[in-house]
Amino acid sequence: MTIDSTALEDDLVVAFNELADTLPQRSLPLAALHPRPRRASRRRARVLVAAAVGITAVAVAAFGVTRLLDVDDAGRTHRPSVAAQQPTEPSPSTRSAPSGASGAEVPLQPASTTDSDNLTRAILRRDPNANPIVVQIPDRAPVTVYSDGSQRCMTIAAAPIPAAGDQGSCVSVDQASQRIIGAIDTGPVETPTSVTYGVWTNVPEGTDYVTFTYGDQTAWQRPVAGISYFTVPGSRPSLGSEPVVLRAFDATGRQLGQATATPYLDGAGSWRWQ
Amino acid sequence: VGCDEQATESGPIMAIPAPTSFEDFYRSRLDWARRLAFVLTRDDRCCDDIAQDAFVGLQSRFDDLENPSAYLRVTIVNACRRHLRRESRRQDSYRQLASMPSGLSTSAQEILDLVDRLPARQRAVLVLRYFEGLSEDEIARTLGCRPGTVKSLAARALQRLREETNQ
Repeated sequence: MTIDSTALEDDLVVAFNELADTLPQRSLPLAALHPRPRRASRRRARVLVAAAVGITAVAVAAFGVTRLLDVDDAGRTHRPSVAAQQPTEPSPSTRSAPSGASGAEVPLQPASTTDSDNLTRAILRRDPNANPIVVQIPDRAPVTVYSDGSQRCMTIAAAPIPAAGDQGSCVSVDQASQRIIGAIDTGPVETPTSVTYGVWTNVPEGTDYVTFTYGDQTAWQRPVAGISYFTVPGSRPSLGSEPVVLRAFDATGRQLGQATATPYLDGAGSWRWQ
Repeated sequence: VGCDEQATESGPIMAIPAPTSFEDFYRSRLDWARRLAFVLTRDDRCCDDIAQDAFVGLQSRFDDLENPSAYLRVTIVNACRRHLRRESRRQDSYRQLASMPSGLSTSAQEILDLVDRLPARQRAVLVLRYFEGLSEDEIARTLGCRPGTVKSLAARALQRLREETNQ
């Protein structure tokens, strides 16, 4: 380098090293290595995705019909116990479609893959009270939902091919019952392989099924361990500022709650969700 | 020619024994990674996050990389540049943070305050040269640009520091 050795350069060496020496020593365990979801309020549009929501025709076609006839009365919306690492509910809906639901079922089930197990162990080593739950829609990435202090968080970091974009987000506990949070799996190329994930981490207790509405798109799902999520192809809202709405109903068709996410274009020209 | 942000395996071979596992590598390089992120950003709130994110990104590729340290450095530098760009939009809060008492000597505090005012790329060049001790070619590989660009960035950064110091 042709920068001459001068007093200024010597001062820079001293200053940088002095600065580095002020950094407190900290031992960050290897177990803590997992992507930290950002706060939902700061995430880019696609993240929240709630917008997201949607369904993939393949998943619906493959599983929707088979769910229409069978019956299973096990509760699916318990709040998971602190000790639970995986939901104990049986796999997705084997009951007939609720009378109040429209569209096809997007089946949700507990999941356990090598990657998700590793991620779960890492989360638990960092925080034994995180209570990670892994659920999955067939042919989509497993979604891990866990607690982080006063927040509820989701991540798709256990996807077979890690997303190139943001992989998760969090929402404060007091908003978790009304907010959809999410992430986008950009895959190897953002378009057209991107998939947006919208997650309701705190579906009300007693919920029998959750409906998804995005414009004229509708679908429904039996939540697992108080979690419901939908996906939609793409990383941007296809309906502009149309909100995504998830509604929770009990077995009698009474609405127990709803969560939303509304996309908007910020001043910088990026889509965001609120 | 600008400096891109693609992580590559550019950079020198570290003068440390090559770790045989990712865990060994993590243990041996964590402190270095944190310090580099801290000096680049001067933000002790985010340097741990940047370092850990860099290791996360490296983990799945570790076995395929001949020089994971260089890859890690590129990742950290890019993350810090992004962080600085974000922070530059919050000038007031950042200046306030940077002016907080830090336990530094007066001369170090003064020169670091001047460095803080430099564009992120110029700051990165100075840190890589005077903290990391990299050569011009090594910095160019780390930043993904030509050596001539590094030379120009360094010259402009030093010139600006001299001007500020003389004022």
